[in-house]
Formats: sequence, C-alpha cells, structure tokens
Amino acid sequence: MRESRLWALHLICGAGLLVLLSLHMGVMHYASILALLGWVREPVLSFSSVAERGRGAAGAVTYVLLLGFALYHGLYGLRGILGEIWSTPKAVRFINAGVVIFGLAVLVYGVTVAAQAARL
Amino acid sequence: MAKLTGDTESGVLTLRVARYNPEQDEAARPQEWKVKILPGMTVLDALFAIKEEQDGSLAFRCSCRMGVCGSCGMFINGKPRLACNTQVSELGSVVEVAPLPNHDAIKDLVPDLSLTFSRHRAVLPYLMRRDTAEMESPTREYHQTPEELARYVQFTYCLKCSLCLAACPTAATKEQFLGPQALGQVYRYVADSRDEGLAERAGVVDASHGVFGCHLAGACSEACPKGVDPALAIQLLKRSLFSGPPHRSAAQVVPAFPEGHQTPEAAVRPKAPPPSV
Repeated sequence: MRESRLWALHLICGAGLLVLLSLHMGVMHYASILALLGWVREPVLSFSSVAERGRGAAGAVTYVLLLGFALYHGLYGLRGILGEIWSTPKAVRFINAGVVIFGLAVLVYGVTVAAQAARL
Repeated sequence: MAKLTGDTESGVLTLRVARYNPEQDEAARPQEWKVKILPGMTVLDALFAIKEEQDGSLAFRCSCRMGVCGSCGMFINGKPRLACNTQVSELGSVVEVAPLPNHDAIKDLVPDLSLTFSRHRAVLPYLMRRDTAEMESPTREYHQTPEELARYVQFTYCLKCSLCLAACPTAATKEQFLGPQALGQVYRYVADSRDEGLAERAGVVDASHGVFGCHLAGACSEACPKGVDPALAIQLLKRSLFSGPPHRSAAQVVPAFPEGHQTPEAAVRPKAPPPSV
C-alpha cells in the first residue's frame, strides 16, 4: 500500500482517538460531573457498571475501535521512529513485518476479550 | 567554545579548516591559517588566499564566485552556506570550515554530490505530458498564465548546491531519504500547469523514505541561499498526492497565434531599396 494511504489512516485514527478518548475521559474520569447532570446513577468503576458497558454491542464496538485506533496510530509512529534508527531496506522490511504481526496479535487478543466480556 | 585566536579589529582572520585526504587520513583533521582581511572578503576569497599564498594542496570546489552556480557549498561556522556568498566580516575572528554534512568528502572541502544528483534524476525532473507528439516535435507554446507560473516559480531557483540536504536532520539519520532538494523539485514539476507526471513521480516519492519521511524541521528552507522553501514544497506535495496537482487540467498549446503575429520567417524585413542617388 502506498505511504500516503497509510499516513491518511494514521490521521484518521488520530481523529478517532480524539473522539473515543474524550468519551473515555468523560465516562471514566469525569463521572462525578455526569452524575451531577443525572446521566449516570451508580459508580462507573463498580464491577456491575464495567460488565454492563462491556455487555452491550455499543460498548464492545467502542472498545474494539479504541484498541484498533490506538494500535494503528501508535505502531505507525513507532515504525517511523525505528525506520530512522535502522534504515536499511532489510531492516525496514523486518520492522514492517514485526509491527504488523504485533499489531494484529494484540488486536485479535483484544477482540477476543471484548467478545468474552459481551457474553458475561 | 572555540578560543578566539584571530582579530578582525587588526584585520587578521583565523581560518580553521577540516583537512581530509583519503589517501593519507582516516578521518578529517583541523588545520589553521591566518589570513589578512580585505574589504568585502568572502570565505571563498580567504580560501583562495590560503591556496595561493600558504598551502596549494588545499582542495575546494567553486565556479561562478557570485552565488549562482552552487558549487562552493561548505559547512561554515556550523551552518551550510555558499562560501562565495558569505562575508568573513559576518563570522567573527575565527572561521571554522568543513565539508558539507550528510555527504561523503572527496578531499578537504570537496563534497561528493553524486548522491544528490542521482536522487534528483530519480524523481523525473522534467515536464511529462501525454501529448508526446507535441512534446517531441513542438509546433507552438504551451499556454501558462502568470498566476500558474507563480505557483512554482520559486522552486525553479534551486541551484542544486545541496545545502538543504546538508542541513536536513532526517537525511542525517535516514540514508534512504530522498531529501529536500529532490522532493522540492518534484513539486516544482507537479505544480507546473504544463505537467502531467504526478502519477509517475508518486511511484518514487509516495514512500516512507520519500515525502512522508520529512519531519518538517524547516532547516532546508533556512539553509537555502536562493530563498527557496523546500519544506513548503514537501507539504504541498503531500497535499498533491491526495488531491492531485494544483491545476485542474494540463495546459494546452496556445490555441492560435495572436492577431498580427508573424512567424519569424514572414517577419524578416525586406531588403532596403538601393539608394536613388
């Protein structure tokens, strides 16, 4: 794939992260404000709340998207840094392969966990 | 910090030059000379003074001596500059001169520019069009407005002196990086309304070692002795890779000659009548 498409995906993931991290911060760290507004009723970090969020399709999809965006955005940046330290064509191929394998492995693991949480 | 051993007040300059002879030296070694400062003296003048009066073995490259040819690029007091375009009065009493960074040195201050030129060739630095018949056997000119010319004209001022590549921090760490000179020239042709070669050039520059390797440090634009802004060209080139060249369609040949136009053959004046005396 051409680098411009990979770079565009990097930007899209960055924008997606901005949205999802805002959501995460709102739900997990500013819950007291949400409680004041009456949007949440019980402690957001209790087991039942966490399980409830993971059980719904919207929660599972949000988790997977957040994981995918963060993985792609972070690993693309890591690939760029490593590619400057070791810039021979052979090293670049090795870095590309390593980043793809690691990213896919973590994504598959994350999707599995999210699917299991949805069945709880 | 270097100890000041020269004195511009007394009209004496200390030149500390990185000497390197590949047949004798494993690495560059510094050598100092003192030179009498003359009004308007440039670093290139000072090097000539050393070569003519003190050490004829000092090697450096130059040609026009007026900041046009780009041959005398050197690393002067920590910055890539043209030696002919740098007054010694701007530099203090000690001037340190070394060959351009990010280049191999052939000898003393002579950088090996073959990599710069090969990268320049690799990006297809010429007009590319689909109407090859008109290109190969032109019948008329291609139409271009002053506004279309303004989009790329600053990038045509590139001297290929390689100062931008010497200043580039990405080129210092990433050997495969094409560098600001070559990438800037890609945009020079992509932005030219007569050109249709973006797709072909994208095959070369749309890569991690191409346009997307740039960190936008801007050191290239700061180093350019002609005021070209390669960092801007690289950012505009990124945009072109997504949305196409700035012109919507390639310029056509001039549709018709203006009224009253005469071809050069027809415009030849008839011979004057013989004097009637």
